[in-house]
Amino acid sequence: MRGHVMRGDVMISNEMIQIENLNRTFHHAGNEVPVLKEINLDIQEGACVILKGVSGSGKTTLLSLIAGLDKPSSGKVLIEGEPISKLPDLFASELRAKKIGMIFQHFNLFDHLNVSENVTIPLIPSGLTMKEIEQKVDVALNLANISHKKETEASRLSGGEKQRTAIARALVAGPNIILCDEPTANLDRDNSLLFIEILKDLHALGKTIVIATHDPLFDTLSFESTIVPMFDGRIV
Amino acid sequence: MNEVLFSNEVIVYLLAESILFVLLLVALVVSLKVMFKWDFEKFTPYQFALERQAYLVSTIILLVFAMKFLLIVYFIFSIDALSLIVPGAMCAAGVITANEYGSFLLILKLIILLFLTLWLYVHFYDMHTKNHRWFKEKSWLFSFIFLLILLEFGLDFAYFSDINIHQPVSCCSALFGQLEGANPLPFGLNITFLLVLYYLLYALVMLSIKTKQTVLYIVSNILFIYIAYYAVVYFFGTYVYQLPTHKCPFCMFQVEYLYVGYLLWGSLFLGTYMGLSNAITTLWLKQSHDASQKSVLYLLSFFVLACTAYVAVYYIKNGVLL
Amino acid sequence: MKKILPLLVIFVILGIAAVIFISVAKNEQPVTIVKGNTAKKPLPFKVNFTNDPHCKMLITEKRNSSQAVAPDGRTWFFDDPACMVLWLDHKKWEKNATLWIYSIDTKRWIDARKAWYGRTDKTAMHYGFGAREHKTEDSIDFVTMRLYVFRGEHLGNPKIRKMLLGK
Repeated sequence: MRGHVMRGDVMISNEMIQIENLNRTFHHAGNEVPVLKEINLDIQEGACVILKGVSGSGKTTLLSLIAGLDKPSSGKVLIEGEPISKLPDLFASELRAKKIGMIFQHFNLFDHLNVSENVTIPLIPSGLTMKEIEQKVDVALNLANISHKKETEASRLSGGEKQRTAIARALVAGPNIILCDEPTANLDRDNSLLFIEILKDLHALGKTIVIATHDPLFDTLSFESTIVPMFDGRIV
Repeated sequence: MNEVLFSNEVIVYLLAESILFVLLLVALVVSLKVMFKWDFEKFTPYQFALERQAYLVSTIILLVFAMKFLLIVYFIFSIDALSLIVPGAMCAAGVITANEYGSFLLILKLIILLFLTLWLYVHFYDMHTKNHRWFKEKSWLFSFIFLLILLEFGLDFAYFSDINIHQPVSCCSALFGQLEGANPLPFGLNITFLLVLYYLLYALVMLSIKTKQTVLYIVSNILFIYIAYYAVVYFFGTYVYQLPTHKCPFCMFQVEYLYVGYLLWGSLFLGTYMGLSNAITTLWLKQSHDASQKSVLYLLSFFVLACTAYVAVYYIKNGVLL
Repeated sequence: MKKILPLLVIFVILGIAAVIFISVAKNEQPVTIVKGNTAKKPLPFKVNFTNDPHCKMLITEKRNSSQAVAPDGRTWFFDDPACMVLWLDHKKWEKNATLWIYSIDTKRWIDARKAWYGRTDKTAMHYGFGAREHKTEDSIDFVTMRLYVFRGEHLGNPKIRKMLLGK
């Protein structure tokens, strides 16, 4: 049975992300604007899913709902069986901090901080000692191939280096899920290909990856991935 | 119209109370609707809308309740200010007894603050569960508090409207002075026994916190606040005023005494409210908050130390007691 | 420490109980009001242990003391007839109250409204209105005495004092 694992007599799903009948409607100037309509999607552990669609198809909104940054109008979003769409902010933040890493289109780094400091930030509320934090930061910087720019201020990095810093920041807490929103929109072709290589490494590590993009480079990845086309808030 | 209603302090106070009341009324209407339709297990648009409204209601209530704590301080300040225009009143004591509403209103306000604190505790625990486990309990408690606040709102206007600035009131020496030969202290206590009881009850409160005996804590804290009132009025207060015949719980709110009344009574009541709320939620919801119990310890200890310090300083300076 | 704490709790509770018990046992409060006097008779009272609710002083002698009995039987005690008059003023049941006063001449309790009052007698609060059962040349009735009390025409007023006593 696709997507299910038996442990003794108990059937346990290995779906990392489950989305059921998800809807999101925004209200603007007295009008209702449905952005997501009846989305149903199961993403298995270790899978790489590309949400493909033009601007306005609802990809970013879907990623926000998966990350728990927004709440749906109706429907379920389950992360490892936990209904993140229903969790109070306190628990949603906790789950997001432990299980989800996000990479944004505009990187969202602190320009006045250096690479190491930017990558450290997610671990500040974790309760770890400084030594433990430094170790995790070093591992993340190596994974993202940006260790050589550790002390460089973020404002002085190139686009590709900023993106790799953002990757390191997304990985530092050791999340199982990586969400990428238009990760190559501000990169040139070479840096985009470098980014895809890093994604390949992350996929090999067993991370579950969801990418929202309209970049054609993601149509033919060299590792196993699933393209989920979206149009007008629906999966087509 | 009563001239008291044109006093700046009264205008500000009643306006603030009115705004808070309207906010609470809105919160009550929404809260009741949410409470009766609430089903957290559902993922329907209606349930999500209810959850958003529940969050809005909680935010409004939190804001209003926080303001209520500030407002009671302002209430005391206002009635103290009114003592300048009410004949015979030297402090808030005379003003609060200017009509039959005053004392009842003050006690009601203190009781409301206890329930507000309890709501804050239940809200805290509710927000720390994944499924808003105590949402309904919190909502029922809020509905009950609203009824008390409704009564308080009516009494506020009745009280201030009924203060007659042409009729003299009694000052604190008439109110708290005793009949010759009569003993105003409870249980027939004399001052020595009153102080012994005061410190013993404080010790019992501390011990019950340390040994986590909830029911004992509730009983001892209620007794302590009862005895502490008499101890402050009939003993420690005389050292604040440095006059053995000056017995009044209100004069110490004035600038002459460095507003120490706010600190003393504030620490006593805040410590009691937090402690009792923590104890009630321990028994009711089986939830306890150790950090808040520490705060109770510090607040009540500060109160006892401050009271004792006034006596000690007087004795050190003068070599005798009053 | 953990073993000592429960013992300490018990010790403190016992201490509190002892303090309260001893205080309650020793408690003797002066009498201010006696309830249940539906027969509306004058009641005996303990001198130096009964309070006058108007001047708040203890009543030190029976002479010129008075009692007011409300229609429901509640009874108050006064050390001076003028205290009773002033205290009764504006009580809703004033006209229906039974008033007693201890007379100087017959040394017994008499109806205060039927008593005769001097103006220069020695009374507890120095108003000067001593009560008698029998009329004398200078004595005034209850209504006149009440009027003088409210108009301040008593020995407590220096002008009246000078007029009546010449000093």
